[in-house]
Amino acid sequence: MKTLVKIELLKLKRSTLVPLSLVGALTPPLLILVGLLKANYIDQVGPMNFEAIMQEGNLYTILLFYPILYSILAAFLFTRDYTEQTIKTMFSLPIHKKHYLHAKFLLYFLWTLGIGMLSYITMVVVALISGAFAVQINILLSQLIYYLISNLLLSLSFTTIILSALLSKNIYVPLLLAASICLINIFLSNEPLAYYFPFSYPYLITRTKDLFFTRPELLGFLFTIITGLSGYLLSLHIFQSRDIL
Amino acid sequence: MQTIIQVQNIRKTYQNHVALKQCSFELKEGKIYGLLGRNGAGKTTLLNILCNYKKASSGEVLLFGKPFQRDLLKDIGVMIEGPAFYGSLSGQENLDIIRQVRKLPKEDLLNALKTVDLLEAKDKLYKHYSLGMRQKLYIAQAIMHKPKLLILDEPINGLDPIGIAHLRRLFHKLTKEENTTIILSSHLLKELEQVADELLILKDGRLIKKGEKHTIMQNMEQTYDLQVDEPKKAYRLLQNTGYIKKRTITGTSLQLTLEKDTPISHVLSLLLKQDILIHQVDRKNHDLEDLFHALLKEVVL
Repeated sequence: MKTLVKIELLKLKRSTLVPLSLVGALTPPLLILVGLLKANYIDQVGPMNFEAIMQEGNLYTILLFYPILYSILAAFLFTRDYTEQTIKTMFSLPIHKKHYLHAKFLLYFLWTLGIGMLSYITMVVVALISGAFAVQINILLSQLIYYLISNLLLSLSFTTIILSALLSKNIYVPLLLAASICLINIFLSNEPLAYYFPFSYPYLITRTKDLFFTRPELLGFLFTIITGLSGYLLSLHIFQSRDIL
Repeated sequence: MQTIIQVQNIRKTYQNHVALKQCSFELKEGKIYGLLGRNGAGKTTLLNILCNYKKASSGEVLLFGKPFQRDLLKDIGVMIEGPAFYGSLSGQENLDIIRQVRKLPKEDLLNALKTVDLLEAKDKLYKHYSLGMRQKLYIAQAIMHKPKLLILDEPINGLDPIGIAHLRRLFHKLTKEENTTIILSSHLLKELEQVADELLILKDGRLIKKGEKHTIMQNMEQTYDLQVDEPKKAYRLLQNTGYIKKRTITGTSLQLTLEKDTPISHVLSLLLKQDILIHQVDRKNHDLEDLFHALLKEVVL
């Protein structure tokens, strides 16, 4: 497995995914920075609360931007061997289908974690640059924990997008689905139903104070986990049962 | 001689189309097998099934006496339907992926690159490789681990004459020194004729012929060109003898295609008895291309 993950990383050398992920991770914080600078120097509203800035960052990333970014990532990682026809070269080797897919899943989760962390750190830097007030360690840590859980659940729910990528063997279907998810996320914002939509729910975690304690939160958590596991198990089943070419 | 591949009654269907029909054969170690057939005859489907890219709808394939397991690919080298590597990686980096999975020393990678004459271009990005270089890299990945079985689909596509000759020598070396079994599909019949020991001929998804190349070629219809003093008389004489399948006259030359198992001596003695002077007898040497054309015309071989 270690070799396979290493190989998956090697495959990404000089690929467009690396700069794309960097740009993707940095875009929401930089947009917020522009907004904060405008508020400070043009609208003269004055500095904002640190927690409010971080929550705005969560809205931009988890709810609006990451669905598109993660679908590109998922489609790239899981369909590249089909689009470049390297699947036949890879499977002329003694690699088990299950191990091949697991290496990709592992890399996908590590990559989304990396993107999330980069965004979060940049958000903190942006907040500090903008002169945010009420910067407290406990807020910083609690925001980080909620953000990590939220990002992990979003990545998990996107195993369904991975499934669509494996079924369609191209990038278009996952992108179309991601765009639809973003639209639904906007449509459901501030609606109680958002808890039951597995792609909106991860964002709601970042706003909560009592994680999993209320009924909609617990149900939302379960729906997201079930969606993620279904996506993973179906991907595995379809990939293993289907012909390679 | 050990059996490397046993194929028993395999059939492959795609929705309403039958790509392979009840194919059965055995391949022995240390031989080069040429796989022959028109487009759509089922060659690539058969190769895809042999290396488990596709599963047969029914029937069984045994590799080294065992049903397919992915671990068996340790002893198999595959190149099917043109080269495919990562464009953003160099030739060496692409081969390094293969090397790491196969757990081979770095030395094997460099040897493979040297064998296909690609050592100087190893650091060039794959997307900048020419078609011939890509094909060479594809061959390198197939032979890097010194496989017992090589499955090659159109391996000489894009290679220059020197590259083709080099590959031909490599195939012979692998079979003689390493006892490698090679199954080779190609549309370049002259090449196949030069390298193959045995032929497998597919038509409409069915294996219609398998055997030693020389035996199959010898069993082809015999065609002779006779220079005689009275070709029209000879032409009439040979009518209804049961010896001749086809006859034509061009000037003083008489072209004869004999019926199967008819020796030319029968024909010659018949003509001599009738005082027809025979100046010259030439046997037409059939090549694989003639065999292939005969096959297309559905002539009984």
